[in-house]
Amino acid sequence: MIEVAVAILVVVPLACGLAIWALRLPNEAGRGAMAASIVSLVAAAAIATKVQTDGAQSAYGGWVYVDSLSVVVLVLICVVGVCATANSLSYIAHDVASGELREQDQTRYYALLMGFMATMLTVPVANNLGIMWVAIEATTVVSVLLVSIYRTGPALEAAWKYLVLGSVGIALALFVTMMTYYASTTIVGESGNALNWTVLARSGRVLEPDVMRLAFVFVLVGYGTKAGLAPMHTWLPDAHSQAPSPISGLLSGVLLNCAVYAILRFRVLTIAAVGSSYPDHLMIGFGLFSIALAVPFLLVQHDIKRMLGYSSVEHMGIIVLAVGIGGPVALYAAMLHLVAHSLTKSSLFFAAGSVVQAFKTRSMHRMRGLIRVTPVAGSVLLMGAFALVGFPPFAMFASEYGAVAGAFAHDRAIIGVAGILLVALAGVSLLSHVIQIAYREPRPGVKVRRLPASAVLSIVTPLALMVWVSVAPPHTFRTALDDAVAVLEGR
Amino acid sequence: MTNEFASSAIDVLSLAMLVVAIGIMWTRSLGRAMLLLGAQSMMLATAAVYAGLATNSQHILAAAGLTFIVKVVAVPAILWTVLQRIPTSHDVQASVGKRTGVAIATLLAVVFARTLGGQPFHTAIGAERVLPTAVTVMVIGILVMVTHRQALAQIVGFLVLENGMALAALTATYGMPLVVEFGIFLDLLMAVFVAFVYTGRMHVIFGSLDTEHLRSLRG
Repeated sequence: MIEVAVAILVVVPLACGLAIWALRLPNEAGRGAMAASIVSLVAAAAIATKVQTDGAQSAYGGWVYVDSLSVVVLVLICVVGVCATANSLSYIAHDVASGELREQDQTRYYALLMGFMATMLTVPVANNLGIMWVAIEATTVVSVLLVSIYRTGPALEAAWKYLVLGSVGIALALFVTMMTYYASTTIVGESGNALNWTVLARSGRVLEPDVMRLAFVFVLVGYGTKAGLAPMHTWLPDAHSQAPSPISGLLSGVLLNCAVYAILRFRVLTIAAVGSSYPDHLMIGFGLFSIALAVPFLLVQHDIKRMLGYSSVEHMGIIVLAVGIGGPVALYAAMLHLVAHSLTKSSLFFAAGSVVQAFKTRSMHRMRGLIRVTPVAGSVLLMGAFALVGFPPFAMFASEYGAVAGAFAHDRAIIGVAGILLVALAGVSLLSHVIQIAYREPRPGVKVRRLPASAVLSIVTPLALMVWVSVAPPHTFRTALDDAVAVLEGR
Repeated sequence: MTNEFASSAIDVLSLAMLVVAIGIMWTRSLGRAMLLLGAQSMMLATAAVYAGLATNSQHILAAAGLTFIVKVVAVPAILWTVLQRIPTSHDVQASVGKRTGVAIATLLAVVFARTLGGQPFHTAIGAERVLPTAVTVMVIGILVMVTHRQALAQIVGFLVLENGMALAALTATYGMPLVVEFGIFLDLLMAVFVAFVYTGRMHVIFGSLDTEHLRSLRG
């Protein structure tokens, strides 16, 4: 059963993308992509149920391995993927109608979107860390083409920076994969299995400590580039702001998670080999620095999508910081934060997309009265901003509280205090921008912009899911996070 | 073939790769940089053949074949096409002078040789000295990317980084499992192809491949 589900999960979007690309039917492309992403979501749900009831699953002779940590990443990719595809329907149609995209870009867009989904979905199901690397690198190559789909100078600039920096980062991550393979072959012998998570996790305790210590620095710098950790984040605000908004939602909401996922896997191996204090200190350092660096950029930002991009740098920092603090409470907080950030940020990017289309600018100086001009997108943007800066009752309040509580419990009070101050500063900056554009008096004579149902649903759904898991988390959700924490603790 | 012979051959080839990397740092002509890159990839493929023969391992020989096809034939062919198609100046601007650049690269080589000399890797074919060389080649690749203000030169720098990595992987672990190796080459080829598409677009939009044009997104 797991074989079938994993095959459907990855192959359906891939086949759909190839079919769209080969057949070039602009009118059917959107609907086909929609169907494929829904099928993937169903497969992901089936896998999640299976893993939750029967534990981690292997398939295809050990090439595929899905445990509770994979499932969290997997389900998020599919949920956000369905919403992004639904959002694309009206977004792309609008840009084609207004002449910003050409007819033929439409099929290219959906084909690449499906390819992007397929590569992302391969990351959490790969057992072999080498294959995981190949999949993460493939996400860069595919998504970079989506970033540059508007043929403008700035889009090309963003794509070029993303391609170059992303490739260097991922090359360093390949160096890590190689070092890990080296450390592993000295124990299990030279074989194709030596990079399998299932083999490495078992032999973790005996992996050469010196090699793993060196490797973890490269993990944080390499996969950290892809995860948008400062100071390697410089490509992120460019790429996330220049991409079409549904893609921005995917890049920020779930692609960053894939890189964080890789860091988390290597963290478990490193801890098994050298103990937790070394990787934890590094992660705390990178986490705090990313949050601190985002603050001034959030403060002076006037481009709404760049602002959301810098906010992603901040939130990846929070997740890495929480993982670095460690312990069951902070690790649970990190997983909760990862989920809440994905859902909230994708909603915000989708909403920002329709706001940008309504005002024909990304500059927040020229946006007024969002609540009245684009009621749905405006309110989602406002509510999402409150959720993002950690207001109760939203999940990110609980997760940030958990991370800080974990810091205090581990005699790391100073880190907790520094973290909370920086997060508060970042929050105030972001919120002040959003409140201004939401409530300023709209220009006289501006028409109220109505969104089609698919756009409304895609913008509202992720945020609604976030509210659901915030105020009344279902039992399965809490169990899923608990199980993921167990994987993070190497249990 | 004896292990000692293979090991010293790989040693010599790795040093040659380092010298070529410094040469790429030195040259300001794109055509010459690409020739040097092709030569470096050829050395890498040869080193892989030696390692494969010495250890009698077919998968290393297969990887050597892939290296030849992708890095010695396909990638230089793509880069050469760009160079021919774009009537731009084939000279590269760099933010550091020739002598400074080479001095930095040489300094790096010395520093890595001394600091990584006692590194924790012990390879079966006795090529311990190769790892510091490989890391230096990687860093020089990054240095080329950072200092050279031309899109194609940045790609060349990235490929030097890739070659250094492949050399490290070859000597530390006899390369990666073949499936992974295959995926790596596929990704590399796709990335170079995307870069190829972008250089064309860059030329249309900005009229040159100078990365100075790519500075509008700030803050």
